[in-house]
Amino acid sequence: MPDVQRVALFVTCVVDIVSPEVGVASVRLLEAAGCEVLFPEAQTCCGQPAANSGEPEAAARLARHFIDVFEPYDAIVSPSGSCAAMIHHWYDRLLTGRERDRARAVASKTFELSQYLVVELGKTELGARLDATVTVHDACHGLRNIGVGGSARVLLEAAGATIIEMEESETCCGFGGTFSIEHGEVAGPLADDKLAHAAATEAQYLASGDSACLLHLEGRRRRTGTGPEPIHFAELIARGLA
Amino acid sequence: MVSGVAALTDSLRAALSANRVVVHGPVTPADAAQHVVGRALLHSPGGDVAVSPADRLVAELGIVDHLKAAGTNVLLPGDVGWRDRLSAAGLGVTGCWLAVAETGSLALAARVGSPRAVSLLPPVHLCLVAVDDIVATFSGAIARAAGAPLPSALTWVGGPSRTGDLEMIQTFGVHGPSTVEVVLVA
Amino acid sequence: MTHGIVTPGESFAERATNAVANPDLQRALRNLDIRLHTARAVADTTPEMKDQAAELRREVLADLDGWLDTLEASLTRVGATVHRADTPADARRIVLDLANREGAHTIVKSKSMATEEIDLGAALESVGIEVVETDLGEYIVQVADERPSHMITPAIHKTLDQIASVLETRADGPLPVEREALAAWTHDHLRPAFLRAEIGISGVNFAAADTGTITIVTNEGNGRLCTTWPRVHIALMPIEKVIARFGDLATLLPLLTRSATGQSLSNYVSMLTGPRRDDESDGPDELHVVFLDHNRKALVGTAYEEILACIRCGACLNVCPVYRKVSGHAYDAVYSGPMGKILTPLLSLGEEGRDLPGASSLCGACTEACPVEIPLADLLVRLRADLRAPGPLLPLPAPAGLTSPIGHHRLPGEGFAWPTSQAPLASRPPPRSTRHMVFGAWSRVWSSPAGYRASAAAARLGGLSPSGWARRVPLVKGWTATRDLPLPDRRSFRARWAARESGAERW
Repeated sequence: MPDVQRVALFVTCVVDIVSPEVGVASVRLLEAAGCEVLFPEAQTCCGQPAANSGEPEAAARLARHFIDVFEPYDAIVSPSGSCAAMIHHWYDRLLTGRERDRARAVASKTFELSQYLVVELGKTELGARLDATVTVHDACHGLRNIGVGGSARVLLEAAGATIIEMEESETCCGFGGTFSIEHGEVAGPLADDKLAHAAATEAQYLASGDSACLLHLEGRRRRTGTGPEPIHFAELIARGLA
Repeated sequence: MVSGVAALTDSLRAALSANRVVVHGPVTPADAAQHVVGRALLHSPGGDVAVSPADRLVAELGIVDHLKAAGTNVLLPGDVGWRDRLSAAGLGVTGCWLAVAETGSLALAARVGSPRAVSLLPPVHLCLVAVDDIVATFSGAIARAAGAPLPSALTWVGGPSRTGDLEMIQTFGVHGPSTVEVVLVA
Repeated sequence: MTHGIVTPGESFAERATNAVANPDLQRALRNLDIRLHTARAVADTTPEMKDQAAELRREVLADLDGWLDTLEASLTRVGATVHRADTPADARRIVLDLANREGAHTIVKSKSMATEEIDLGAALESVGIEVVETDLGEYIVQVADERPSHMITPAIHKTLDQIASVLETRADGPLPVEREALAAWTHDHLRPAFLRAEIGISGVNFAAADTGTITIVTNEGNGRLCTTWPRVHIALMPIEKVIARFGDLATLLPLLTRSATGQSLSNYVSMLTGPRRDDESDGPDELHVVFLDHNRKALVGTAYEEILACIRCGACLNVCPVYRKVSGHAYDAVYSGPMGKILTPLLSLGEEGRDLPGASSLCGACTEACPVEIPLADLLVRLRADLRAPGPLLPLPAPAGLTSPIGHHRLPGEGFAWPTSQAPLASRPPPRSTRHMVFGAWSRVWSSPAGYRASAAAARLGGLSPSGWARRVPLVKGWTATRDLPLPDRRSFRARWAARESGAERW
């Protein structure tokens, strides 16, 4: 491995448009780990909303665009386990022939942020200092699709945070893309369960690695007032950076 | 995986107990028949005691004769009215083909003189298990079964009848016997 | 065929809404944690065991017709009679003919999802035959005139006091709200039915092609009674229940019972090889095995073939966050939960349950729990694509060389990887629906960086609010009914990146 890792940030459309602070935090974490961060400005969306809605043609169009944009880079890192999982899991099924070969090559160098820092680089100590209690929601696609595992916890603890595990940390929060709009009758109660489990820990923060899940939880919390502040783990750790 | 008769016996006893089976013994072959008679007098006082006479231990230990000598009404498969009387019998006595230490299962093979229902219709099932017939694992037992002609019914009994249908809390005694006892015979 | 459904509604969303708002149902669901059964099973099951079971199931699916022929020959050899039913109507007619010939007045049934699938009970009752469900949970829903809400524990939606009230309608007096007493009452109340029934009907958990042995698991003993005491035993077997070898039970049976109830083996396992033999005192004189197709063979060779590996353990229901919230009746289908969302539209060729595949957050807990490695979440996504076009759902064969049902891979470490089923995502051409047009247009605009930037800027202008959140947005009222909607930030990440690059801001 060269001394300085050059990393292309895939910030995701949700972070770019709605939660830019998470993108800023991601850059700061990567730079604290000694990476040189590049931001390919032609990037847009991974296409997951279309794939999960059963619109594979539209999803494939965005997959091709993603591959065109990111193919030249050595490492692609995203602060979303779900978007990284889209590239790993679905591009393979959306494309055929030569395009599929390219998709697989791109997927093989695409990582979720905590996974990249902890597993790929082996860098857990980023110099952040936090005095906070945190409970962690294991967002589904990162957990089950690309094996992110406990990487975010490792980073949070290395930064000095105290993790208090909640009941059912691996149960879905109810977001699920278009599901959260078409089946709000179930998505809402699932968010309530997640927030209640988090509240029971009395932790200050509910951290996770997917901004869309966090926005869904915060949207519910604004109605009910239950649960700790949902926050992306990168944003929380970045607050502890000098 | 455990091996050796003593270890297998301990392991089976633990698994059967976990399945809510009352385990007696091991007793010597000489004592086994008296033990069965004692349980019969307890569970079916004055009533019928259904027996599977063809089961190896039942035949070898002379269980039918001992029960008759003790004055119990022994109900045998060929008897007149067997079907009608079986449901009213207080106890069913069988041997078993083998027992599985891992799962605590009693494997019963149906054949002439070993009907399926003796272990099923009466409220109490007493099963004689020779400690030499204990196998360690279910897969080992299946391999043994696959190596010989299969009976019309090979039934694996874990313990008393139970259900999870009442708020998913295990509740005993639905359609099959509410009590299962095992006499281990050395 | 709608029995008294407790959560009426036209769509899954309506029924789910009613289920979430039903305090009795929510109380019943809260009282038990069905997830725990499966959690134990997952803990006890190694990836190697799952791989082995998954391969045994795919081995059979690779030549389903061949294994069924072998099974039929074996069953015939051991004295059973095989009937082949292409449709539920065929299967009902076969059973009705047998009941007719037998002059049956009473039929006892052991729990069988396949008999639910063909609505057999109603067909028999319509000709005046008394049909008695003998599994306690199944009996409860029969008396309540409902449908099972879970394939393993059919009355899971009912609390103990509700169950006592239901059973009381068949009792001479009041019944105590006490579990042991209710079990004992069931024993005494149903025993006469077993003794007088001329026919026992069961399902089949596994049918071994080499020996012609059918295996049935129960905990109560009703399965044993149904297959022991009546003169005729009819076993209804969906064709995918065939397994290659008797010896495969060593792998598949413990996996089924562990995943279903957390037991290392069910309390009673009956391995039946033919009817009673000469001079045996009990067991049925006749054993009839009905092979039920019902559009299953049409799935072989398509990406949906994988669902035929299912062994009906219920693990996917137990871990599903949606199922755990709404219970089985919200699906308005025989099979509920993740596998039901897939099987219902497929078996009905798209006539039933078209909105079920959409009712999933795609969290993947089902895929992870499945002991035979069916990529359930993937199949849900495929169905969403294939159900876009109106009309019958006819899955097309996967292109040669693309399906690789076996070929699962796992990531290093603790993570779980999805199986690599390689058929293209949609097997049918897309329709010209509004939704398709919208996604098409969106993907074209967002495939261009300029289009993406322009639309994001427009969204920012349209969605400005001091808090960054909106309480009511008519376009997405499905979201705002329960949650505030996040709005675009005043400055996008790329704007901030550009500012940093130009030195205008420092991070």
